Amino acid sequence: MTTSFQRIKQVNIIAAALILVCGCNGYEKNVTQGEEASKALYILNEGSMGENNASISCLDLERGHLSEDIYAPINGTPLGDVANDIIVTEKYVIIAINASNIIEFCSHDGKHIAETEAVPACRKMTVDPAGKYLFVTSWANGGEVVKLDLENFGETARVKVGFEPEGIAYYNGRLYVANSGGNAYLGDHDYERSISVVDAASMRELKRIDTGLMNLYGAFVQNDKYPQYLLVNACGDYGANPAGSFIFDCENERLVESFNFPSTYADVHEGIFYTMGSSYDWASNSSNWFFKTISIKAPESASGSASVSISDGIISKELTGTIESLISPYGIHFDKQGNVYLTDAVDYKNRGLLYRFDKEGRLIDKQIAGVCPGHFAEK
Amino acid sequence: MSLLLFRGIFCYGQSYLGAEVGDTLRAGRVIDYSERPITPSQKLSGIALQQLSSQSISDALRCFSGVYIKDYGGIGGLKTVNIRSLGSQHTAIFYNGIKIDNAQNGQVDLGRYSLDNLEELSIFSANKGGSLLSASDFASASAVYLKSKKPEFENSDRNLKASLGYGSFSTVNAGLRYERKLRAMSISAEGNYLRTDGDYRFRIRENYEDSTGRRRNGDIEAFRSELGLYSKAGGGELQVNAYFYLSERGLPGPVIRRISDQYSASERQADRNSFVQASWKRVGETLSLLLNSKLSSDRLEYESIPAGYTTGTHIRNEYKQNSLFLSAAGAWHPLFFLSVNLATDGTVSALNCDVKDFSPVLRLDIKTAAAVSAHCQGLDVQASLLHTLVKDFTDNQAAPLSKLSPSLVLGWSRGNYLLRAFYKSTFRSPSLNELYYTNIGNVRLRPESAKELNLGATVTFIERERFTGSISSDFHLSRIEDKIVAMPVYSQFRWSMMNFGLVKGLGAEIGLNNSFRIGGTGFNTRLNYTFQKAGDCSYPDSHWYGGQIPYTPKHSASALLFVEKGAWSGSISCLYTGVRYRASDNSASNRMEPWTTIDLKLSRALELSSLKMAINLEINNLLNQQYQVVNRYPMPGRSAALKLEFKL
Repeated sequence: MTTSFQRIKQVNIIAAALILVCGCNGYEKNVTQGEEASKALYILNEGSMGENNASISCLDLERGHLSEDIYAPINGTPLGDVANDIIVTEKYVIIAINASNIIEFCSHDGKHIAETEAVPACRKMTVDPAGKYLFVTSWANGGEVVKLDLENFGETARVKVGFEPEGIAYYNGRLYVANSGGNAYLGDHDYERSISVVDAASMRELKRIDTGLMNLYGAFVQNDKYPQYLLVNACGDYGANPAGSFIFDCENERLVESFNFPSTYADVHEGIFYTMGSSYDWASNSSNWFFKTISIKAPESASGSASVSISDGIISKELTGTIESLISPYGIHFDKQGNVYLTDAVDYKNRGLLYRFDKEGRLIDKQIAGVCPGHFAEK
Repeated sequence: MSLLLFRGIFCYGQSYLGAEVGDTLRAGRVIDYSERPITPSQKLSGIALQQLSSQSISDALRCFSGVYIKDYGGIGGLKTVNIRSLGSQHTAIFYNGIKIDNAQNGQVDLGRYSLDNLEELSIFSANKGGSLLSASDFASASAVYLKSKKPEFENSDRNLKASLGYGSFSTVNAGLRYERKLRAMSISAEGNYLRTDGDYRFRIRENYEDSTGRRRNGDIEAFRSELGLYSKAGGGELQVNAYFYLSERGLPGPVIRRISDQYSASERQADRNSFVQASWKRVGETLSLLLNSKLSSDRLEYESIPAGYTTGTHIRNEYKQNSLFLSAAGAWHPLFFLSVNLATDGTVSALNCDVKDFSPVLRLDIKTAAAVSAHCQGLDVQASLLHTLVKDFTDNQAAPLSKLSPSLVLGWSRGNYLLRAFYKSTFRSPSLNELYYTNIGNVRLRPESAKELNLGATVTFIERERFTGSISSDFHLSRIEDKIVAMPVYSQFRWSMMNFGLVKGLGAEIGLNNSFRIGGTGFNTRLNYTFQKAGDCSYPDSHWYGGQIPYTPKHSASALLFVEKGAWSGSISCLYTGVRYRASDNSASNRMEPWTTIDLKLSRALELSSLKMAINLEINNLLNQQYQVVNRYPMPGRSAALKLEFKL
């Protein structure tokens, strides 16, 4: 264990050196250097399907106080039914509410500004670096990506991708979309294995890249330091095709390396991915958890191959041990300072918990969030 | 007519010893010991049952103490019964002595059983008592018994009854029943049609919400037909019933935040249920015998039709279940104070559905029970042991289940006082859906066990025909282990069934019933109060440890009043359900507000030469209480119905 943490530190130093060389690839949003510290961390609580109890908890990063729900009290109505994703831009907090078929735009205080149902069955979102457009994946119409104008919240274009698209990332004018085929159990199509590449300006699907892994559902995290790399989870078909995960290179539009462990929940900090993956083991009738740290060493030239190193555990023994003790780990997040946040959905029906750690991985406190706290965004 | 009504009221509602009170008053006959329940029981029967303002048996069951009906709202909404917060799957429903089985999901929708032509509705904890029980009678923590009306002939050997009703939300109800006496045999045949738009207005007012709307897709059209044959055969009594139910309904779904309904899929369900059952019973001095058999066929078709804009997949699935049930029970009374009850049941159920990757399942369920009952100097003891064997035949089948469940029932009575106690250990086996449903099923599930300990007492007052009454109370402790719940497994994204959880319960019930007469007016009142604490102890370190389980009011009460004078009769029922929580985490955000409903019914009997007529007016939820039993499924507000009945 110790050796792996030492390795992380080494990688950190190398990574820090590399950023100066690589620059930012036209993706300003995630570059942390020189940015101000965040003031608030929004935690999106998905809620339980049919209960209309999605909510937004807000952690004051200066005082450490967690507001359980900032949306319902100020607006006099609950957020909606099953929220999937949250993005915070300069002006808005944007939420994709799946079962309500609503994209909600509210102020940083949670006050409702606008809503649209242009994207039914909305799933995951990304914004372009200029902050002009919002791109949303949707399970409607056999799988599509919808482009919304953040000026007027109107739809500008939509494009068909694979079945049940999930994660979405913007890189260098292109959108990379994980196709899951998650409704395959209904019988009219199979699970997907591909990443769709879409031109963000024209909203045309340029190609689909076969990743070899099935059902791209779960974590889909763009590297903060090297935005060309994505960490993608694959659920498999819950049968013969097991769950796994892989690193995808957007610059060269190819897989860097695939792993035989799932990365169900993940986040990135200073170029390093931290993942919590679960797979179900029939033999022991229990979930197997994998907690990994994945470091990427970028190649000398943009077209070269990156090298990847993996170690067990996340940050510290205390942090890794805490995750292992959670009943239902449901999300992990690193703030800009490197403090770590973990959520536990416990039984998925009652309010879950938010655990706060400092950057050394020491537990600060735990607080009650909402039902199924799973997504994070910082202001 | 009026005398008949009053008798009906008298035998209504006398829980515990009450049944005897009514019988004694009516017929002056000696109490039949074998029918005397020493387990906690409640009963509604006779014309009182008809006099209650209710659409289905679930409305009538709500008046009993310790009973909680989970109701998704409207006539077509699923209604299941949960007794003493043990869970609906620990409550068996019996129709004319034979269990209504749903091997697929273990759930019986009470909404499909009408109060029309029901003779008696009763519930029991532990078992229904007596010395001649079938093995199924021992198999669940609580049971609901529905007994359909036997034909009764006054002057002619045939009866014809027709009814026609119209009510709020374009509800139409029409029924026809024909009864015929043929020597020692009597037969009945009936058909009933029901339709409603179910588009009632609702208002949800909670913590941070005040929304109004109209329920959509809550319509239902249903046809029910029943045949009954009652006869004496082979020195015993034979009863044959056939049942046929056909329905098509919308599933309105939960009320959730939406901008418009343009993407709302239309979910529809069509059911076809049919069964034929025969029961033969012979009660003798030293030997008694009970034989039951049933053949049933159920079909359910579910369809989800995406709205104009394709937001989802068109889903259409068909589920079929066929089963055969055979049962034999015998009682031997070797000595006047002792009886031995041996019983065995066998059920074969075949389930098939066209869900992808679903393999047909054949389930064999064999129950064998032995019980010894003794009665001496006012002391009753019944000890029973039930063995259950469940074996499934399918691809990747679950291991066979073999389990013993004991129970001990004690009663002591002297004069008008009765003390009772029981301990029962029981379980429910995982349903076929829970074990085998594609992607969700888990063949490793263990049965969910329920243990219950009860202490109770009843005091009866009898003062000639002027006043009768009883007061009854029970205290119970319960424990549910290995609860079967859905949780995400398989990489967290696919939900599956798991054994998880522990619920510790504690409850108290008190019931006061009495019938009295002032001048020419007969009154019957029934007051019930229930206290129920059921703590979720599944997660010892959680912040909600010990919190009240969802949808379980700590306090609930009901008050019923029946009045009868001459050709007029009426009833008022008032139900109160206290605060409940949506989740075991009893936080303000999970709180569900208490509700009170008042239902009224007024009837007038008329006679026009040989035609007997009755006019019934019902007003349900008089105060227009807006409430939810199940979170996000609002219940109807005030509604009215007018019904005409004709008898020839």
